[in-house]
Amino acid sequence: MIESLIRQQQSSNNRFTITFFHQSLIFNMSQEISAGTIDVAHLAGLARLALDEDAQAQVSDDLKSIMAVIDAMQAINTDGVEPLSHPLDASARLRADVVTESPDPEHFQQTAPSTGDHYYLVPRVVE
Amino acid sequence: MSEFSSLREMSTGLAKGDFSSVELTQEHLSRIQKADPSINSFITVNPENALAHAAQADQQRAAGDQRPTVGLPFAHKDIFCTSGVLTTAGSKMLSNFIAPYDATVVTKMAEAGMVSVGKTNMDEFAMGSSNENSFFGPVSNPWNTDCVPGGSSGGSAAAVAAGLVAAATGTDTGGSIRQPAALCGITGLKPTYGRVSRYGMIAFASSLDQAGPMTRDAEDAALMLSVMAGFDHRDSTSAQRDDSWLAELAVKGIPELDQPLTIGLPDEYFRTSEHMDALEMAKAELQKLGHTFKHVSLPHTESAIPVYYVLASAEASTNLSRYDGVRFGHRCENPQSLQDLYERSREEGFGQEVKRRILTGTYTLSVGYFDAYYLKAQKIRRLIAQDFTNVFAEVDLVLAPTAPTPAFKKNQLTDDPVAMYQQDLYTVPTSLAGLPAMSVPCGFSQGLPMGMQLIAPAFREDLPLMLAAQFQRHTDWHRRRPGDAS
Repeated sequence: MIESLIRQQQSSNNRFTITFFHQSLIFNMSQEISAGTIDVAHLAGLARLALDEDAQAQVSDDLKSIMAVIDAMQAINTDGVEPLSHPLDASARLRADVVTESPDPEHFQQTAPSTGDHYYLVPRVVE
Repeated sequence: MSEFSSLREMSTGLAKGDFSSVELTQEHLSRIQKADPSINSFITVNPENALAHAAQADQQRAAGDQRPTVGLPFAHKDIFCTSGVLTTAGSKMLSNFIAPYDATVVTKMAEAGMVSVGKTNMDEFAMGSSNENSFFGPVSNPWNTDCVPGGSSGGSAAAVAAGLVAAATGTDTGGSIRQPAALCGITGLKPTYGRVSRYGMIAFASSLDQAGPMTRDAEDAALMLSVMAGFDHRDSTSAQRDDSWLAELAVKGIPELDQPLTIGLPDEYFRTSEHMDALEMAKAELQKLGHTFKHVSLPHTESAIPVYYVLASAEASTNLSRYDGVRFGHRCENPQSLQDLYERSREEGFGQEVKRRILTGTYTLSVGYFDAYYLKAQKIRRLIAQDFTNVFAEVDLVLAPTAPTPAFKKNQLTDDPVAMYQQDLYTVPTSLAGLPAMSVPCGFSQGLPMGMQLIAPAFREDLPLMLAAQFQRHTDWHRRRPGDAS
């Protein structure tokens, strides 16, 4: 039996998974990648994609041509220009910090591949 | 009732009692059953639900509900979450996904009494310009089934062009409503960013994604928009606007333009030759109607493609991190560890183009590259938006081609992602600036339909709608059908 329970509540379980993912994407980036070379195996690891060698070779070629197109933007002078993150330059609307919905694991876990006692089941993480 | 009747024509027939919504819906379902196998524009067809909703609509009309939308059949792009009905986003990853809730757009259409007959095919997670990236197979262009319908809302565009439905919902991140509308000879409107709620619309690039109508003509686009648009507290970027003008359009139709417009022609958009004949004729027609043209410049147009592919891929790599095989979607067989579960579920569940964009986004967001790519792209995004602001100080609207070519052959561009990305050349700048833009049929090239794009200032969808309606009252390009002499 390779599956085990992660002993956390549903909501905190979700947060655990997402946080784990984002931390690995953003903060664990190796410095091995340098300009002009793309370490596809490492990149695939960060993106949590299992790519075999053939797929890596194809992706490497594709990324080189895509990055060549993207690099054309480096010629644009952006001195003194502020970045634009919302297309209409609007800021996100805030709302009152109050509970608006109550948890309904029976309903929301219907789409999960594997559950038990309102937990999501995954392979054992801690021996 | 012809298979190419508009929503408005069907609405009149329903109001007069010429036919019921159940009869109309049955006719749509039999058309889909007969013609869709050669087009593949639907992923899911839902006869039972559709007929139940149609019967309910008939009861509403019998009880005095006079809203023009009650009982009208249409289709949803399979990117909108529908409670109890499969929602796939064209991906193996979600090929078993039944959403536990409805998207706001789905709720609004249902509350307006409209009858969804099914969910249309699309490029996987809306990434593509040819609808060849769908796990459920490519869609054929009804004008020439060897050709693509465009993408990513290719199923919606093909279904409308083939007469299977009069209208469908679409979504547009970098041109995914407008480009397939142009390639299939229909009318498509990408509203201003924030006009239509993104709640329950499967996310691709959240700072760009926007839903809109795909229809036979501008009148139907206005009717659909009046239902789809509106503030939604569940979408943090939903715009709070006065939508009373849209409600008025729904009841009274699009009014005549009361004054001629000054229309900008950006030099940077008129450098390909294939659209020139059709656009020249459209310009002549608009000139006859009293409008004037002015040459303008949008100098950062060429940098829009690189900027878009940095920002959209970065946002996609983040948004698609939720597909991990744990809470919903595809899970690999016999995972040996949590890492193995993540990596194989994602490798098996995503198609090639989606993986390409996730990896592009992962690369440009990575430490040491963030400033050079993501931040740089955001700065150029401001320059692109500023270009439009400058131009709209001089003109009311901008006229441009929608796509650089008419529909191309299947497999023609599949091995060259960069060539495929060029399909978005004329639609991406508007998306980056968050502006409303509409594709309107305006002629033919090589027997295939062409579209002109009308771009307006933020929240001025009324302008392209009124100009398109006026153009369509004086031309019949939008009435041409596959098989007609072009």
